[in-house]
Amino acid sequence: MNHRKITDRDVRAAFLARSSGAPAVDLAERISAATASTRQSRPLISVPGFGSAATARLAWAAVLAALTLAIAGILALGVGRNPITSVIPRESPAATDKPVATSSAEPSDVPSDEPSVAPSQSASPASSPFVVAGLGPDTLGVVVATDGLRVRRLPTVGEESERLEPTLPVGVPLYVVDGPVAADGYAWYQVQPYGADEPLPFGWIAAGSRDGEPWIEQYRLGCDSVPLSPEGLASGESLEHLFCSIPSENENVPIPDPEVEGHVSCVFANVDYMISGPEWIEVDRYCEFQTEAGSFWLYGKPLTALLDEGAVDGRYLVVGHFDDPGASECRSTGGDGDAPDPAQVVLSCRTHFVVTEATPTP
Amino acid sequence: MTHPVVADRPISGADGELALVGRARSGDRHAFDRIVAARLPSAYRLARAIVGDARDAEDVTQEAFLSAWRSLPRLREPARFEAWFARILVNEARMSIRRRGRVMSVSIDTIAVRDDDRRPWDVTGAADSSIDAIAQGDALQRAIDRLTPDQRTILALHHVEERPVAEISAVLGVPVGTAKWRLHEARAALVRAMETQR
Repeated sequence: MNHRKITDRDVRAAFLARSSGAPAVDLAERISAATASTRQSRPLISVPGFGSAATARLAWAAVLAALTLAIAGILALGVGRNPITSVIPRESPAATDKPVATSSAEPSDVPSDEPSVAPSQSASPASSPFVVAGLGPDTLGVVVATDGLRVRRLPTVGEESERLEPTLPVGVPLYVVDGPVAADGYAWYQVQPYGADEPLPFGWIAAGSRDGEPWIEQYRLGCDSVPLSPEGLASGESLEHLFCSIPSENENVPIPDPEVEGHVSCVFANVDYMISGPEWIEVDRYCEFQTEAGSFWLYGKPLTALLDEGAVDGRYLVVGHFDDPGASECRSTGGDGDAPDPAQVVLSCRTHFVVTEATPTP
Repeated sequence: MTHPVVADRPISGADGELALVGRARSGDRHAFDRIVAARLPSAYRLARAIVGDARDAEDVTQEAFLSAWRSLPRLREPARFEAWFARILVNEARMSIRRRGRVMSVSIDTIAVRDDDRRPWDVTGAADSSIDAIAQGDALQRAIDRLTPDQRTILALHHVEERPVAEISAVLGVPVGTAKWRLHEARAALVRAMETQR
């Protein structure tokens, strides 16, 4: 055989010949069927202003949609914060096992144009703001105000603190990120609402009126009802998984890392996260734990590095944890205009299940 | 061959791909079906160019679309869907090759070529129908099979998709200079793989 010099035309012809032909006629239908039985992996932090409201059920999406003044907010927060350290909490209503409405809120200091319970500048300050006993960072609360509780970007009623929409309906559980912070006669908590059908904003809420009427209560979740089984992790509330993975101050007993066994699948893909920081946020690969109840994402090089040795698509025993220390490094990679609150980004990362051990099982 | 789904009305105007990506991103499977219909032929073609085998190419295509469906809510910029999906596809193709252990290094001095290693050579695209050209085409197919997955991928992106280097760099997630260098290296590896057959 006489070989002549290979030209680009030869190479192109070879590749075109190699790729000629059509796929099986039912390939599109097979893909469609597979799609129908595959759940989308939704990030805790989503993209603002994109997608239909009917399907964007995650509360986090709306938070981002509303957060357009993050830089100004951060600056203002730095100036205006006044953590409550000496206030003696008034007795709060008895905590409930389930998020239920226990009061009828029609505060007297609601401005006429404000169709919700909301802190007001016009009311005269009380000597000490109402705070909820037992409510602080990494605890759960629940809205008891029945007229819709206002969320603000900053812990103040000042003009610099944007009112976020929508207001929080009664019964909505809250993950408390920060607070209480005293300002304008109110005690403020930074919260992430969850579990609602519509997106609800991340931000600051007042614990109650200046008259001492509670607008939120502590929500004492029994962690026995939050199984860290594969199905529980796939279908449950990630913020409750996080809550239940943190020892309470009273117990302070280390909680063992969850172990789950089941089908794990990892792929190389361009993952378009909105966050970066810890090494386990990898943009070129991701892993899923798949169950009949749905799937959840797994992070961590002990698992993802297995892709370099071959396919990862089978049964594995996985050990990992929530609230990884690296979460504190998480930062938004979005532009300034749609950047979420940094505290929300860190909270999102704290709910990620970071794998420390992964072992294939028969 | 016309696929019934492929024959669906084209994506254009207000119902364009950007809108469909947005709807699919929110969980609209019908919108995603239309994206699949529009992109299936080219996706399969690229997968086939990389993996070679028709069945493997179908598996790669299916897995890529499924992976895209799962990950769509995490796509921050819907306008980047094309490059994003291409990257998923080529990664699936590279994984497929690795899974099947078909990778052979072209740095091996002598590569034994078995008679049954030959692939059918479709001369339709060849300008020269001479026996030498057919034989060279055959040799080229074998040489392509001996490239690494990454080398096959970048050559396929360049020669099948006819993507400019800037787009290739976006798909592969590497700087433009790196893409240029890899393309050059892949081309050189192909020549070396051909020479081992002489």
